[in-house]
Amino acid sequence: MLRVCILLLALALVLAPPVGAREFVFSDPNGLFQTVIPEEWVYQTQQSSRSLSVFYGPGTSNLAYFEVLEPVSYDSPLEYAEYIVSLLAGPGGLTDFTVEEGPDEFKLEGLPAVSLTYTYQAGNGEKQREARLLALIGDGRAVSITISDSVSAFDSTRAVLDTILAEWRWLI
Amino acid sequence: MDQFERSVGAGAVADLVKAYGGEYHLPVWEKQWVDAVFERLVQVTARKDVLTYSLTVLNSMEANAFALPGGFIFITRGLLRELQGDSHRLAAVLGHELAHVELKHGINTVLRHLGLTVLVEMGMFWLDVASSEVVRMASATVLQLIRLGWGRDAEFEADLLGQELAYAAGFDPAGAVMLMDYLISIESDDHSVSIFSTHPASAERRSRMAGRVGQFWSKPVKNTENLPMKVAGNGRNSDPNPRMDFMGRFVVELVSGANGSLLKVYDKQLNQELNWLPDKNVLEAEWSPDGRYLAVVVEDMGRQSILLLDRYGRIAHDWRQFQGARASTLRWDPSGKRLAYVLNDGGNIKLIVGYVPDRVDVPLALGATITDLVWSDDGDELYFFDGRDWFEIHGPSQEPVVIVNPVPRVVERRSFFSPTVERDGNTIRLTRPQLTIP
Repeated sequence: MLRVCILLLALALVLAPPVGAREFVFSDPNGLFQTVIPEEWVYQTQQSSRSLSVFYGPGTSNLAYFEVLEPVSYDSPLEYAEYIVSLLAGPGGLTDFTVEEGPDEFKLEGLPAVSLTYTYQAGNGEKQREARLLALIGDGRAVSITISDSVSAFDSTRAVLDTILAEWRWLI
Repeated sequence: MDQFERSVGAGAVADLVKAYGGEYHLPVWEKQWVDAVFERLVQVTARKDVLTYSLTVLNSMEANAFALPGGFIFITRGLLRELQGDSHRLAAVLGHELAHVELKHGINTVLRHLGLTVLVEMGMFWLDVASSEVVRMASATVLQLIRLGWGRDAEFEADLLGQELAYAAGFDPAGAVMLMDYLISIESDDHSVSIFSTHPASAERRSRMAGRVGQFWSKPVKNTENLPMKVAGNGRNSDPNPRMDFMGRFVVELVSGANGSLLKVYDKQLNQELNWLPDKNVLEAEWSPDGRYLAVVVEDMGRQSILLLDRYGRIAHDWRQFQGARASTLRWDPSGKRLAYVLNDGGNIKLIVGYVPDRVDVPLALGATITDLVWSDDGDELYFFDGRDWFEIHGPSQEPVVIVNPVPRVVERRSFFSPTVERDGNTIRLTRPQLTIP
């Protein structure tokens, strides 16, 4: 019984949203955008580069990452997203890749963007769900914003995307 | 004739793919890179308007590549793995295979083998309407011959044209030599590396290609614009403390000792003096721009060497050895992948650019005196001073591989407590991902 209680307590600590969570400002190394990231999300030096910024969340399989892509010849983010989806779904793409939502067009702080949600089988064999946003920012460049987590835990992680988008600012 | 060639190659594709485990679908990100390199090479071929070049990756761990008549190029995933993401080496492989098609080695060998050479001389038309039986026979012959290669002379020709194609497409023509060195080094240990089973006389081929790399550099011309001094004034050559490494941790100094000059290193992070190479007479020392290596010239019993030390003072590579010759004026290029030096070989002064950590050396100039060297900021030009004037030499310009419409990466979490293995020369370190917020 005691073990069950400890286990439940541990689970509650892991799963419960942080009370009074704070955020820090994240500025893209290329100077293209700025947003906020929950304080407990940790920047990953080794997986990041000038074009890719990766953060691990407090869970075991959640992460957020931002990538600057260039050159992009598409004028429409929808067409670019459809091209990407066709490659990820094809040979050499992601295992068991399935689009669940989108791609849907919207404006991200005034710039044309699309959002889509998909699942795939990750390298550890688990099913992973990702919400990905793609925005065309001009000069043949695009920005990709991704929130990722295991399918079972994704819903709680998705709230982070709202936080990121609420404070999103283009610096261009 | 082109149509016939295409038909012969097309007739052999299915069997060749089957013999090598079928087609392998690269991850989309790697495929975009391979396709971008291949497309750049195709654009500089002469036959691109009459042939449709295609590239297929074969699902075999044997390191090999092939070209079928008509423009069908193949590379195994085993060879791709050995290339380790190096665009210049990939360009060397693909350039060589494209050259076989450009020079019609495959189709000519097949026709010779079948005794049809005389028909070629009769005119192209006959072959373009050749019966399906002739095509089938020729395709079967291709499959038999491809494992043997197209002949010694054909391999030499393809090496040279492949190198030129790589150069014209903006890749380093030295990539072919480095690739060959690497494959020869692993060939003896790993029998799955069989690219040279169809490519005879690899040492001679290596020697010929290495000897040609210098031809892709210009002859020295006098620089009258004082450009080298401007570069030196703007770039890292003007660093007030050129003996400090890029990350600002180690400062090196040469001090006189009983047996010549000693290398003294001051570690600013630990605030202590280190004694690297304590028993060596060190004549010169120069940090690579990325802080990866400290290149040093050492002398021992009249024999000189250039050693590459890692950031811990250990010998990562005994890079070059000279008997009776003296090396000096070490200068790293901005990428840290090439090291220029001056070699005085019994009065013959040579300016040499060596690739790090490979064995490729490119002799660029001979002179009575060379007292200073400066690289341009992009690494495309090397300037040298002969005591009176500055001269400049243009190297082969290298264009980065640009992937149009890149597929965004799909990142997965790494195991938190798994150490990462980092290899730096002979040093292997286990590290953990850093958990710092910028």
